[in-house]
Amino acid sequence: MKSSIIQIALITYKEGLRHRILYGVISAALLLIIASILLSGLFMRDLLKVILDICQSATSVGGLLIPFFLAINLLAGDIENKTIFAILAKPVSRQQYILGKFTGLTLLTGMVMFILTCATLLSIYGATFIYPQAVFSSLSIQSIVFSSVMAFLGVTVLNSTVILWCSVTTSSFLATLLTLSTYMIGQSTENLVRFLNVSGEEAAVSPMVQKIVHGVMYIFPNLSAFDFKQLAAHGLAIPMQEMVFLLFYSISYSVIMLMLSMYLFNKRDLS
Amino acid sequence: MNLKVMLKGFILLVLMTVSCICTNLLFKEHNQRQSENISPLALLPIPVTDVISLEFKGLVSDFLMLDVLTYMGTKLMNRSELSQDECNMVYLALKQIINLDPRSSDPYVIAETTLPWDGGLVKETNEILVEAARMRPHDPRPFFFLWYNYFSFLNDPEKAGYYLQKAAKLPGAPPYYAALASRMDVYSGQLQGAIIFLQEIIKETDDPALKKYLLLRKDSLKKMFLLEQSIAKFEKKFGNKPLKLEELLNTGILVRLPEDPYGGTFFIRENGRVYTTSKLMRVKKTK
Repeated sequence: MKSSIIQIALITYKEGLRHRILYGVISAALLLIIASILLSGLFMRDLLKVILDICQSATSVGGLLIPFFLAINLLAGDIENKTIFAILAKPVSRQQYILGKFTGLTLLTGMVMFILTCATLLSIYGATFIYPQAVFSSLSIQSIVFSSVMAFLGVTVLNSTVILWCSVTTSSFLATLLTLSTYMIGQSTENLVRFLNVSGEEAAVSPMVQKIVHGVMYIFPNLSAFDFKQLAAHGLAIPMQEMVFLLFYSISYSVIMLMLSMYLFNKRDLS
Repeated sequence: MNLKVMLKGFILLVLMTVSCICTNLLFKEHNQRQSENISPLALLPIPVTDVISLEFKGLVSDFLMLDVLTYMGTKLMNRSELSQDECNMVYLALKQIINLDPRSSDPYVIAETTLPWDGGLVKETNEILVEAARMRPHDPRPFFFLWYNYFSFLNDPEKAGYYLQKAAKLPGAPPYYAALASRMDVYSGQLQGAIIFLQEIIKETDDPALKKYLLLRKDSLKKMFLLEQSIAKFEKKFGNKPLKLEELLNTGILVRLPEDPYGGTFFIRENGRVYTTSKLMRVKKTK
């Protein structure tokens, strides 16, 4: 069972690498990172912050392109092109297929985000030749690395929801739309809940709406919690306790999504 | 065959030339329009900007900051002052930026160097500075700016002293903050405080246009301070204040009257303080 999952994961990983989109994303993000050094020169004081804002955003965008484009392409494509039959004809169960695909996508995400994080560190190194040392007084490599790891965990959670949506629907367009909605909701529910808590009675929001928003926070992944870009950009430490919570949260949420995906995919009539 | 290739090449060359001309003309048109306004993003309600920025709040705040810097840079290059409405727009944009990334330092420095001076938005600037002091607990500058606003614009030396003492206690604060805080009651006027304030800002300003703008203001204030010191000497010598600055020349206290770098003329107000007809704004030369 284990070797089948690894094999599918490696096939997914290699298939992902074969897609030229991946190289395009990396080249575009690398260019953006280089441009960040030049763009930061237009600012007055927060030069390091601007470099890190651009580079870390590029890292996140690079990671997000995996669930938005590559994952759907690889998963829904298998079903649309009927290649899934060739895979399932071998001694591979549907559960192994789902787990293998998820592992392959996680590997791809990790690889893209690792390259982009290295490029971020390189761009900071490059900037040290241009800007005075005082600009880098707040630099914390540890925070940058931790922020990237947390962003990776966030994208992994999103990958698990992509697997679920691809297990539910046959259309790759619908899967993209559902993934996009999940991402938007995941990024904004925490803000909405905070807004509702602060406004209280003044905003006159019905208790039903408040309950729905709170419910949504538990159903959809809280992706904004994985965002530590600002702390890293200002060289501030990321709380260890929060990182541990996020690690457990990402593992538990992803496992639930995968279990649900396996159940639904098992019930699905692929013909 | 060759003729066909040459014709295709010629058409391509003509199209490229037309494209380049259009790009240049469109850029000029667009640039003119853009520099007159800050991004509409600044006018959106803060919770809306918060939600639509997703996980890219830092990047959006940088984009808005760049917009504000370009807008103000264009104003400075054109030597035009910010109107009240323009100051209000800059204030809204800075509030958005601070909401998206409350730890950045550029927005509050820009707020301090423009809003109270050009738009009289002292209360609003103080709100920004109090927030900056809260979010940047190791930075003495927000307190230093608050000192200046209370001292110079709001004539409240007690509150000013409170903020200067807070600034002086923070690590990295220049040693003269403490000395200045202890000598607050000695200052009879606000000019010396303003000069010290501007010196501090200029020291940390890299932007050439803003630096030039601040240097001009400092130069003017230094000249006004020199004149006020000369008036004090006159009063000590003759027992009364001069009615006109020319009296300083006649009595030998000054060899020549300094010129206002803004193009105005210095004069003595009814309260005995020196001011200028330019009101510290560049006087447009009439033909």
